Amino acid sequence: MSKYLAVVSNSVKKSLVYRANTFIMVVSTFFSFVVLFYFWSSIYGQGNKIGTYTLAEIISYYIFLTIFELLVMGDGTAWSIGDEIKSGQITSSILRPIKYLEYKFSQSIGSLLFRLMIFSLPIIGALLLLRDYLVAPGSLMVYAFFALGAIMSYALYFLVFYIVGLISFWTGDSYGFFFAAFVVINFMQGGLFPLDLLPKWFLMVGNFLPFKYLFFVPVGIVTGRLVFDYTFVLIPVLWCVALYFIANLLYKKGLKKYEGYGI
Amino acid sequence: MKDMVYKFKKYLAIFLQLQKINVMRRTAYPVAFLVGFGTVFLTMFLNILFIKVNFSYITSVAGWSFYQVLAVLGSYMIVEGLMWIFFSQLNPINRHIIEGTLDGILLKPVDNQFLVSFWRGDYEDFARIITGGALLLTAMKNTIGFDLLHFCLFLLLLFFGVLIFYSFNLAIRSISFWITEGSGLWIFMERVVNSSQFPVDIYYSKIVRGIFTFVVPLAFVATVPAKILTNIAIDWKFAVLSFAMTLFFFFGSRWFWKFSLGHYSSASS
Repeated sequence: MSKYLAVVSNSVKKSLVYRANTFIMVVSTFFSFVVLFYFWSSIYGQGNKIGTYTLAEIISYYIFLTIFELLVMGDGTAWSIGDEIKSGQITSSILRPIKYLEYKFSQSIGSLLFRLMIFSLPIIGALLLLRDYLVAPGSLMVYAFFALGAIMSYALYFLVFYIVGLISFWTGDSYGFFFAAFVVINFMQGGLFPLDLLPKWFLMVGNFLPFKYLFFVPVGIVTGRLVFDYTFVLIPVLWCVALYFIANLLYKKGLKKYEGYGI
Repeated sequence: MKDMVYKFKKYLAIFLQLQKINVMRRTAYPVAFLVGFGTVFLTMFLNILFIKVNFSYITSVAGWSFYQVLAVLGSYMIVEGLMWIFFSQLNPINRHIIEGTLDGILLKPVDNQFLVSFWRGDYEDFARIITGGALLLTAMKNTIGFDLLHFCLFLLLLFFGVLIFYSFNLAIRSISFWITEGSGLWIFMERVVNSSQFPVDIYYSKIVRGIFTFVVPLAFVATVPAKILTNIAIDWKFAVLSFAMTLFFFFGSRWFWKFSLGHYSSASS
């Protein structure tokens, strides 16, 4: 356990070195939010309405999307695995007495802790600034359910992108595949717009996949668009277990394919 | 004069040679190239879907109709496509600074800004230009139709838009010489160019609109060209302003690039 804690600690320290870069990433994320804020405000200012969403609900949706982008979505697990495989760096992880999945998860946790330290204040500041646009949940239990949904989302996010990263064992240079996976997953999780604005058949298909639990479900809970249901925990937990086994299987198969090129 | 012609011919030959190498490099792995090409198409499709879904509930946004917004989107796609095809070397510039591989480019007897800009090109992003072109044709057909003056002016303004955005990109990437780890600048520029797919009239606050016109020049990337293409009345004021902004950003960014380069301490030497 202590060896994984050391990885977490190293990951935090490594992230701390590039503070200016982190600041630019915060500015970039808020930049996108400002654009969308004005886009929606402009539409609703003309007396229009998108689906059954009120302005506060749609702005809240994008506020949480911004927060998820900063905290949950941005640790680049797939990219770092791809780089390690392509450059041969993964060999040093193979030779060490550690499990690769747990090693990458520890790195991801370190990166998350760093982001929580750095981004918490700007996020609280932004939430206070935008409080008039925020949909307030009716009870404290909703916050607890949201926290549970966010933890599930984080675990799922890691596993999904861990698997995507392992594709590099077969493809070598995988930037195109990562990009494709990111675009599809982002859309399927509701990263472009709320999924309930799409036709019903799309939502039906989405029910059989893990992606809506990455963002759409947790944010639906906290904004009161979805009433908490035990399946919101059970289904992502089952997906996590399934993806964990798939990830380990792919890693074993990938290692057989790995030729250590780039060393 | 003779010297200028010689210089022009030399740079044109280098430019063409670089494009040839870039096409060969990007298509060396055909499957990866096709996946990239398909993914860019998919991204463009999702951008259109975003607008389509919204316009299934509304008829206009900030005075822009569906087809006018499509013209903005099409212009944005073409500008972004050209950025990727010709200037994608600007993206990994921070990596070259960290690893010291920028030396290889700087030591060549050619203008360093020219080489840094055109060194690499991602030709799979041609999908953006195809999609953008199709959107512009649809927008033209459903608004004022084809008019030679409007179309020529549109092409000129789009060219200015590319130059303005390239210059802004170069200036922002030059910051990498100070902060070294500049991968965040890549994300910043991606967010900026993505934001130009919305007409700047959505920024009802005059201060915000001013910032997105003169500081982060989003207005000139897609909104101004699209306005010319889809409106009968020509906004000459913005057309002239676009030219002035092009000169300001182009020469300003060139100065800033040279100034920043003075702070480069090669990692390999």
